[in-house]
Amino acid sequence: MRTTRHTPRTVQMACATVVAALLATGCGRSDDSTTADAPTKISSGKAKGKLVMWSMGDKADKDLESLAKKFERQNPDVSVQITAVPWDAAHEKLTTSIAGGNTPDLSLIGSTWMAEMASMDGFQATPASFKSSAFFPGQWDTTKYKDTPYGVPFTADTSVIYYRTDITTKAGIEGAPAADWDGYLKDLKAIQATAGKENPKLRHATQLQTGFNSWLFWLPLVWQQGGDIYDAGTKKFTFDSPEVTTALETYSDIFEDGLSPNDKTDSGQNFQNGLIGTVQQGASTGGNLHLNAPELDSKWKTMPLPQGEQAAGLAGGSDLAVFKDAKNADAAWKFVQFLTDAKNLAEYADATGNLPAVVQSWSEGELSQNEEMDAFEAQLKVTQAPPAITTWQQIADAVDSELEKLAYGKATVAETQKTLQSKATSIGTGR
Amino acid sequence: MTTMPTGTIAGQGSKERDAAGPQPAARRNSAPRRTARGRQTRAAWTLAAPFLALFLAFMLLPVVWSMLMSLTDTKSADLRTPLSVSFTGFDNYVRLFQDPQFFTALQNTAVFVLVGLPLTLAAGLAAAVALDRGIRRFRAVFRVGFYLPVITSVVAVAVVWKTLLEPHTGLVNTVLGWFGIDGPAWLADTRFALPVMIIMAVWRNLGTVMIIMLAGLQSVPQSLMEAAELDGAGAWQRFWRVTFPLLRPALLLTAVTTGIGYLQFFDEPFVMTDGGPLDSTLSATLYAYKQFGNGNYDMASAAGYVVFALIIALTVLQFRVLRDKD
Repeated sequence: MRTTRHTPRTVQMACATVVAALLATGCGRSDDSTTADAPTKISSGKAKGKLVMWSMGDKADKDLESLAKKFERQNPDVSVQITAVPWDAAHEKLTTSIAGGNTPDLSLIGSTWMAEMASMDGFQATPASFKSSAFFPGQWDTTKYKDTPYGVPFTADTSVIYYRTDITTKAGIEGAPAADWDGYLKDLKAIQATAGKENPKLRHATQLQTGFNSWLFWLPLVWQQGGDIYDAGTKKFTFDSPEVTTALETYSDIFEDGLSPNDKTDSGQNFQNGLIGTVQQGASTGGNLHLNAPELDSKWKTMPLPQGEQAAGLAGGSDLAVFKDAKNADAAWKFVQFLTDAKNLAEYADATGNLPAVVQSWSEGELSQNEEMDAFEAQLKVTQAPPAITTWQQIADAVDSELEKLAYGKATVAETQKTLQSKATSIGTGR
Repeated sequence: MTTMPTGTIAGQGSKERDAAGPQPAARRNSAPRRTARGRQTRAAWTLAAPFLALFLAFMLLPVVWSMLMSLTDTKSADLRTPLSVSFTGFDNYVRLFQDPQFFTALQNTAVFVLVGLPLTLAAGLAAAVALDRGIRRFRAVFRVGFYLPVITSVVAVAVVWKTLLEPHTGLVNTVLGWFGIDGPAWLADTRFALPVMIIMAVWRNLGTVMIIMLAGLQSVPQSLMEAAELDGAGAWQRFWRVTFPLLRPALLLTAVTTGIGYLQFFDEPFVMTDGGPLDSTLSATLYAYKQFGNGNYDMASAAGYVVFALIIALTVLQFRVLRDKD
């Protein structure tokens, strides 16, 4: 009798402990983040102790590790451990680790996740010793949540126009396509007219993204008109503004005129195969082209995105953030300082092909000698960050799905605008 | 026959215990047996404990937790402060059924189940019959051929299909091109995306159905068939009157498991289309997943429970229709 009753009780106890532990970790921190966090202070002297960093990627980042070795040589009492987290799993892993209070000391964070994770009370406020002027302004803005920076920009990412010179030349375009939207659209039409004739393989002049992540391509169109979709001052969405109308019209016309397919094929691949003449892509596309199709090396060039009222682009990339629950926060910030030093970051950028978010790094490394990178540097100077609101991913999803209807000709610009405004307003800006 | 005596002994035992009289003797008699049973019970609990702990922590607790979440306004920002959320009753369910996108998702899921499930069962049964009777020579080859898609990772299969269906470079349109047909952009066309996924799912799942049906077919006693044959039943009659009724349990098993799988239709659209184009391949579970990704844990949980209710309903229905009448 004694034994039979005793055993279930042990099991019950064990389960109760598990539940209690889960609840405790879940409710561990309940400080309200309505007041802005004060910037963290970094101590003087060398970094000490064990430091754990998460870095995104499918395999270990050798170049980051070699920088870590350099940091260890400069700070003999520190040991840095870098864990690779695949991008696909990173968002989940970061949010659950913040919720569970078992984060590493620091991590790379996708720039569009910053607001969401800062609102979860996950990060320490950036120390005042990091000067915003050292970074591209759009990249710096990605670290902000409620006007407080919660990280430091590391790699920048933005997209530019890649064009096939062999295709544009046959369309009678001398040099680069026009740098303003009116001229650029005219050039696209000229390219389209050569499809199947002068350019036998060509099917479409260009390819805009449809569906998933098409907001990345569309939002800069709004900024280029001098407008925005969200007013941080009044905290209201402005999808009903005339600038948004123009941006939606441009997007929709490109599909209506048959200048872009809406078939969701791989635009990078299509560009390489000569099925399209121009494409808007990030820096990695250039690297891939060089790797996969070296015979095309002299046949493509880059240019900044076409301008409207002004030049603008989207600031992507990743930031470095130190967690609230970091065990070795001081050393973590010192490592961030080390990694975003202009020379070190230039070294990293040269080795990996990533774009540095530090302005000075561009003149330190080999980037300045690569003329394909000029368009990226020009673009980074005018990039902007998407609204720093916790519900951004939902708004972006809504934009994606409405843009898709537009690309398929299932909605008019006026309908799209109305739907977006009402959807965004009902989603709100989060708590 | 054999159950009767033990039944009576147990009955007698309980009567004895109820009576006040001979208790000490009874206890002394049963004491060694109880300790042995106690030891067994303890061993059983010990052996089951790791599983139970894991089951409670990773299965039961999340199930209960998400049920609770579906009744509150939990967002991802509340993960660290679960006590700050407020109870909202069935608001999320109401909002769910007001969302036209969720309706589209339910509709797609319904089409997937209503078209895919009968097709899979029919194709699986046909393959099993063919393997059982007709194609004797290459039986092993066909068995492997039909079953291979089942054991291959869905994601790998989906990626391969996606490549085959690429509009300009894919094999399908290249072959169509030989006959002068300009193939569509299969996965980017609202008319074709869902049908393509149904075909793919049927191809993928018929192997499971086939294996179970084949086992059922091979367990049909030869004597019954011979008897039916002697009575003058033709091949069709033998199949419908003898074989098919005996396959009923196999049919029920495959219908229920495949049906549940189809209601949870997720991997193919997740890998191949992300629910598009224009939500034409969005399933209820993919809808829930997307809500999760957007930090709407409340809506995601509610959507999950709607799918759960549908699974229960479909399973009950299948049991009603397919269960053995006796």
